[in-house]
Amino acid sequence: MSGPGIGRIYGALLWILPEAFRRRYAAEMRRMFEEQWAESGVLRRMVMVVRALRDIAWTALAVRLCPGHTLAPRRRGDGMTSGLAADLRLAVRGLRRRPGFTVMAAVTIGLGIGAMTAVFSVVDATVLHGLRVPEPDRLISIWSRFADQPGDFELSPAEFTDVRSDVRSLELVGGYGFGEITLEPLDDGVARTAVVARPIGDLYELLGARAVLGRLPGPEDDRIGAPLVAVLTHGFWMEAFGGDPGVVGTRTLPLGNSGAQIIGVLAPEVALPEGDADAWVHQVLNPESWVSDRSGHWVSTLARLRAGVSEESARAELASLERTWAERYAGMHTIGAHGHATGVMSLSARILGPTRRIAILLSMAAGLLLLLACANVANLLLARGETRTSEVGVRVALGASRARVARPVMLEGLVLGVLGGILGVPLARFGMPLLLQIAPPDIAQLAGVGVDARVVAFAVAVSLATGALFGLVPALSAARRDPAALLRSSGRGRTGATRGLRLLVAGQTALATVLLALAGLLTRSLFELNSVHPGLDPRGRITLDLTVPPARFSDAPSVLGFYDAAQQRVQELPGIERAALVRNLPLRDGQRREYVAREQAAGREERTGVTVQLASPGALGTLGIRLFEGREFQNADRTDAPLVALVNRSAARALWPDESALGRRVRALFAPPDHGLITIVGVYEDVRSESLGATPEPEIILPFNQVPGFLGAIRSATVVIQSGSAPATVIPAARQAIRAINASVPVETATTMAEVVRASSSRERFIASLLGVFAGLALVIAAVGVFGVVSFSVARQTREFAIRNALGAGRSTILGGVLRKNVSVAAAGAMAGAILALLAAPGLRSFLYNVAPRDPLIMAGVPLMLIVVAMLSSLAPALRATRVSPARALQESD
Amino acid sequence: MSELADLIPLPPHTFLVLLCLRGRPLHGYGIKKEVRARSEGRVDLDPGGLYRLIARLEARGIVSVVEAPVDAPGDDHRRVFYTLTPAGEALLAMEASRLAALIGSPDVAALIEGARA
Repeated sequence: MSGPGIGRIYGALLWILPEAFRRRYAAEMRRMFEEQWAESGVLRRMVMVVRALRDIAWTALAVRLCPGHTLAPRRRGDGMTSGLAADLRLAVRGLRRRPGFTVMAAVTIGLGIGAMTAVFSVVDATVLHGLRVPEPDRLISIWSRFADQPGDFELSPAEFTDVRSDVRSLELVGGYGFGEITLEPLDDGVARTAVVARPIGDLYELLGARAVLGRLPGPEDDRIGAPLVAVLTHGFWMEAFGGDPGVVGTRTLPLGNSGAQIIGVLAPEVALPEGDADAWVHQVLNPESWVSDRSGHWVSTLARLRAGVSEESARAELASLERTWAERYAGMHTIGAHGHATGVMSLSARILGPTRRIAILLSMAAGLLLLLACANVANLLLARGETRTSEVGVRVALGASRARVARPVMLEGLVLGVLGGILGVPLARFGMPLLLQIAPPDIAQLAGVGVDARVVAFAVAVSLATGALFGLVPALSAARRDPAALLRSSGRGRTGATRGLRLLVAGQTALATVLLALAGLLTRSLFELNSVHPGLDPRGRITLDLTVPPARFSDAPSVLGFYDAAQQRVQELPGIERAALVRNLPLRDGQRREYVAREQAAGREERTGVTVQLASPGALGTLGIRLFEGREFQNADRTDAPLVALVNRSAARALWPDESALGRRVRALFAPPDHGLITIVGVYEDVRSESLGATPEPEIILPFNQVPGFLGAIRSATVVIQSGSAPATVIPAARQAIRAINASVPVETATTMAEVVRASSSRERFIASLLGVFAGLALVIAAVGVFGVVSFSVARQTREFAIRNALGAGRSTILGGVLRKNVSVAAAGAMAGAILALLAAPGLRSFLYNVAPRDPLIMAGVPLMLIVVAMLSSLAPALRATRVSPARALQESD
Repeated sequence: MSELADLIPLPPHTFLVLLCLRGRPLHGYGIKKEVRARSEGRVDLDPGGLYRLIARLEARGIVSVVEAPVDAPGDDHRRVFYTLTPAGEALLAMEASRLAALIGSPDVAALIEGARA
């Protein structure tokens, strides 16, 4: 804001100072404020605003309370009643005399402040305090990218080692991978799966990790051949070990040959930036064996820039490192069409970027709602001010200064703002849990802290600011009056008096239109998303997760035997139609990306990126996925049988654009070299595995029984059950049946496929619901605003209507007249709102699925709806105008 | 003069403001900046706070409004400048000697020595 602009506002605020003091010092105070403003930066200015509010309020109070300190009052009669306290009493008394008005105004403001406060707590958690690590601004994330595969990949151990030793711009480089382990049944008899992170390098320091119990791994644990050590996360320690301090130094986690010794417990606030782990098992950095591993991409890498070094110079260094790689490891690191490159991004942008965009959208929506609420209350206050014109006129004529007249009006606004805050904060406090229930997990986790002191402080500031804002408008209008005109007009309907009111009505309609249009777009987008066919049938499908512990199942046949038995037993349960196993549950689990090549492919250049799924016989049918050609896997497709696979239609099109895929053969480039060619036996419908909104990628399904590569790939699986019975009866029965085969296998996360589909669009649902609620409130507030203003203007023109009725004007003429006048104002506002919405909507593009940001249906429909609502709100008061009896005219004229 | 003596000891901010006005007239923002500099940034007066103080000091005849100094920059000529009145000078001197006596007392002197060591 410019200096003169803020100076004017500051000057206006000085009106609450006692007149004698103000006359003498206000101009200098304002000048002083302006000078300091001009010399201050943005942050300092924000502080100045808060301090100025406090300073002015305090000065007004102090000068009032100790009048001896100020100059003598210039005019008699400025004694008792001129006090701020007296004006405050006047304002409160005025509000109490009209409880209906007061309650409505306070509730309106309360809704606005509640919405703003709730959203602020999300913004505070995500944008202002998102990354709880030391030096968050210097942290960057480093990843690999392949030209022919979508998405980001972790670094390979060799790349990590090179980056850590060669890139000079980086002060610290750390990383982590993930694994799963299975814990034997603990005291409660339940076997558990635990996710372990494998921290490497400087990760502890980068994340500011500290132990609340025991110690963190140190240099002695970093020797090659040192025994494995682990630290537990606080949550897992509480959950699995009941917070028993005895586990440190005595228990081990089942990993490697002799297990990993638990040496400490992490503090509760320590967390990985991406992904959750139950325990951190220290990974020894072994350059000797790592330099050769360039193909396994599993190290999530983060680094801290040296002080004063930019992200750009790190990027430049990495680019030159890449060129070295391309020369030294030709074929592995080709730069270009099929090559792979490294990417760099600040960690906060990477982790919080998407959440930030949501937070900004929500704050803007809440801000609009609050503005609308303010406009509405200003409207009501202004209307009241109009009815008090004669009173004001008398006071001005008797010599009251303009400030004296304006001050009680302004104070009324402030009192209402505070009342609104008193209502709004609990609203936010109790509304937050509801809000977080529908929030996607990442936001819910961040914003879980709820309403704290900072949030309350924010709400108080917002309440006072809004109070001042909507108090100022009527206060100015009260102060500007010419007493003679006021007295002349007393009791009469002045044409033009309601111009300010009309402007506010138009403004309200415009704001409501913007909010409704944005909410409409998001809601349509959500409907579009929900009407997408996921490619599978979620109805009557129940899922259970299995993780097979290596300690009990040391080889592939034992794992596969267990899967067979599990499928068999579950299928035999009563009420179950069929059951099958898949490796990655669509719409929930990340998909594994690999390469395949056609049998006739000439070389590396002809490879095709695919996602790889594993499945048991009958999996397609059990998930309700349509088979277009060929057959599903059968029990006969075992290790010794010919290798088979299923492909989705996208993969079939990508690999054999002009012919049927059936009977064609591919080579799995991720399998050991001696793995034979795989024959395609079936083509199935594209499934939206990644998300409902993402276009399906080429996918290949291999049978569990013929999995090439490493055993780890089959250690966990999801059982899918199709059943007409209720999940509540199916889940325990299935769990029991699987435990009966082997109790050491954890059976976890039981849910329904419908829930999985629903959860996959939780982000979109969250935004749409919240904006929907805001828009609904906006509509109600706007309707109330229109109703209030029309009622008011009809009441003021009672005499005119009475005369017109007496003169025989038709009811329809009067009704039409009132409606036309008021609805045209609302219509102008709705049009302005539609233009604003058209300008703002492209900013929503990244939130929309299958809906154009300037969707004509919404951009035309919403303003129309607002006009209809305005018409309905005007109807009752307009009808009242037609019923005014001529006798009233005589009564009204005193 | 006895009325002035009632004001002793002066609140630290008041003392600072009077000290800044000694020997040369200043306008409000000038006082603010000078006070901030003298207190090494610890005392930062808001406009309301400063003019409340000035109002009290004016009412008691401790400071008064003067013409802008001839060497003031062009824009400053329209500002209100304040200076110490003779009573203000006396008050400042009283407070200064009170402080000096306080600091001069052996136990306080020992404290200061201790802090330096």
